[in-house]
Amino acid sequence: MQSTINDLVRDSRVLCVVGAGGVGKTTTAAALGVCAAAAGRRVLIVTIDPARRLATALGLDEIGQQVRTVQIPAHGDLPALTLHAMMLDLKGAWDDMVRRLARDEKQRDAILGNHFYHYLSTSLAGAQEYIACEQLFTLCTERDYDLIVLDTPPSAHAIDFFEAPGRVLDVLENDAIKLLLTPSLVAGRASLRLLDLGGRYVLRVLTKLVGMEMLHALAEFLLAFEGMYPHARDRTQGFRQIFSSPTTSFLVVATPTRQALAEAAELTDRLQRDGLHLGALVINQIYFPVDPLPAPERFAQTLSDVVGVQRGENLTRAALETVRQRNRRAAVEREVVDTMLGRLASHPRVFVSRLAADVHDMETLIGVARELCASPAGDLRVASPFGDFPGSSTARTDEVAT
Amino acid sequence: MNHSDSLHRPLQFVTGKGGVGKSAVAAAIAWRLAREGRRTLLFQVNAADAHSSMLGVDPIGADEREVVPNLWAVNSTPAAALREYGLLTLRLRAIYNAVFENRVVKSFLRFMPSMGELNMLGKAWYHLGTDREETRRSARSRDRTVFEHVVVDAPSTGHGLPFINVARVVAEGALPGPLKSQAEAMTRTIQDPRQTAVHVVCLPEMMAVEESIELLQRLLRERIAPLGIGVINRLGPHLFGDDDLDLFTRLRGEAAPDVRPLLQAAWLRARREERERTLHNRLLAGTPVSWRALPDLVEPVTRREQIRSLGDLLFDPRRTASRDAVDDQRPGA
Repeated sequence: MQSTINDLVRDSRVLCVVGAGGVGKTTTAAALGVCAAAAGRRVLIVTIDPARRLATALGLDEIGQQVRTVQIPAHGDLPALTLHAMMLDLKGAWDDMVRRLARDEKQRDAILGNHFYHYLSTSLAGAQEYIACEQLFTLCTERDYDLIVLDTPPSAHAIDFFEAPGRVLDVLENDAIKLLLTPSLVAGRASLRLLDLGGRYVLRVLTKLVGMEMLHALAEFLLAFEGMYPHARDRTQGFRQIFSSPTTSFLVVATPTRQALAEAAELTDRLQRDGLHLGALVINQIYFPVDPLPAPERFAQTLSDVVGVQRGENLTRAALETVRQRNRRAAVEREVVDTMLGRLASHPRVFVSRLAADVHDMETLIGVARELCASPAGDLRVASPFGDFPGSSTARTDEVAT
Repeated sequence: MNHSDSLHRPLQFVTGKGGVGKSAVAAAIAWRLAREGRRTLLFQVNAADAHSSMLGVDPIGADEREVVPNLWAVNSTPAAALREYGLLTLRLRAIYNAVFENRVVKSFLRFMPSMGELNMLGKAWYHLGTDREETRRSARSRDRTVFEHVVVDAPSTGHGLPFINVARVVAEGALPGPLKSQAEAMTRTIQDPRQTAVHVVCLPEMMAVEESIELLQRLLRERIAPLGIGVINRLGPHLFGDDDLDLFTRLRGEAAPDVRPLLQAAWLRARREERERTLHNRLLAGTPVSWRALPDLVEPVTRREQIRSLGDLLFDPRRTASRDAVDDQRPGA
């Protein structure tokens, strides 16, 4: 079947899922994996998620840093599927990288034992993003999979994902810092340059701010990393190549809230500026309106026959209130989406219903995947929660939460 | 001031899973405190400013501004917080400029582990005036940088706890020096149950509930900071009961086609409500905090009256959640 997502999972080698926190990136990544597997591709989902939500969504208690095979039993018209998933363990991945790249045991131990390395690998802004890219690069090079779906780390600003790897690189190969902190270890020429920088004075102030011992530890750390910088530089170049490849697409996920949509718009602009390919805007957790409004008389009659007129009428009032609230919500959301994404109307959009808010079992995940695959690149009017999804089984409609 | 009430402690953090309504809750608490006549600072942590549209005021930047009487707001950034810290430490602007505008220092400070978070947390702490406790009381009350309450709209779970915990991590991990002593002083405040509370916001959805339980357990186990209240956001009012769900389920199989759309809508709603009640009870049973329930507002929070009424609900002890009691609006119930 022809649809935005089906085309993407068939033709891409890498799909990057980006967006603000709490919009359902992890669930979307997992559902894309299901779509890809259904399209017959060998797919790997990579997630970095402190809350370990992909594990929940995939019905696994814990996905290790090792690739795990996930078997999805046949479900309705969907045959049994196999997909692969791994969770990035931040500290472990950094340690692996150091072990792989260190010149010798001495360098390796010097880095792993350093006071600052611990911070770098767990707390430095951008450390997660850098290692995610590193992992993606390795996986792409090994080419064991037709498609890799990358779930990006949660961050205060979704845009950070694009800045972070560069930030880590800045730190690792910043000659100025090294010169400042290791004057006793570099030759006279460097000392002269230090004076040009007003180095001594600067050093004194830094000591006042953080203390001498901290500065020493940092100097040792940077020296220990010597020789590994060229690798980091090459890699950043490699990341750029992967991201700008014609077989890589970005999916920008947002919920129908002002804040999430504003970030989605910002991300979309950024992708365009960097010449990266936007596969689709996924508007997640949306309420579809109930249309046409159902007639209450027969409903009231049916209920009254079973439970008496009084309760039958009360329940009918409550049911109509349900529909009213739901349609009001759908209208509010639609207005917000139109306001915030109006200027991006030319980009393909995919809508996923509210049910995605609470995906924690395989059945619901398959439901999201069906919606993703089935959603034409259209607008809200084409889909109705009580209609059937094109090309999907009827069982699915029962799962749409109000 | 009654310190036993966590909503009246000087330093309050609001955290929870992404998208659960932390910003609205933080704004509601801060504004309510301001309306009680307390000088309050609403503190965003390098966020996509959500508070200005909720309160209907101009965009909130990195400098504190009084947005409504007694309520000040700021959206802290690592760079601005560092600048303030630098100015405080070095005293003189000329020296600051000479040093902090230096290329080497800029990249160095960017590399210093957790420096950004520590400086923003430090700024929130600084506004309590704890470090100036010794100065004469009258002088302190004239100090415009001191607030009675600082309400921090903290980052979501993955980044929220590391943020609240950054002072302790630096205090324990840093080598002796000014940074370490500063972090130790902050840690003392943050771990003091008379001064600090962490409020956790949650939705009646499976994953948000699981994450909140995990979050609260970590806060306790790792002794990161004293617990405040829990907030179950967007809960009810409920239109159907468990018996209604049973009835709809029974009728679904045999209903005539023209009855089905409304039956389907009612069944889905009744089922969601039943799940919410289960999760509500699970939260109450599985966590050691007092939970307050906030109603599900159909309209997005864009009018300040909504924030105002949320604040009143949060401060109303009668709203404390108890088992099996979800706001019930069944017609005829």
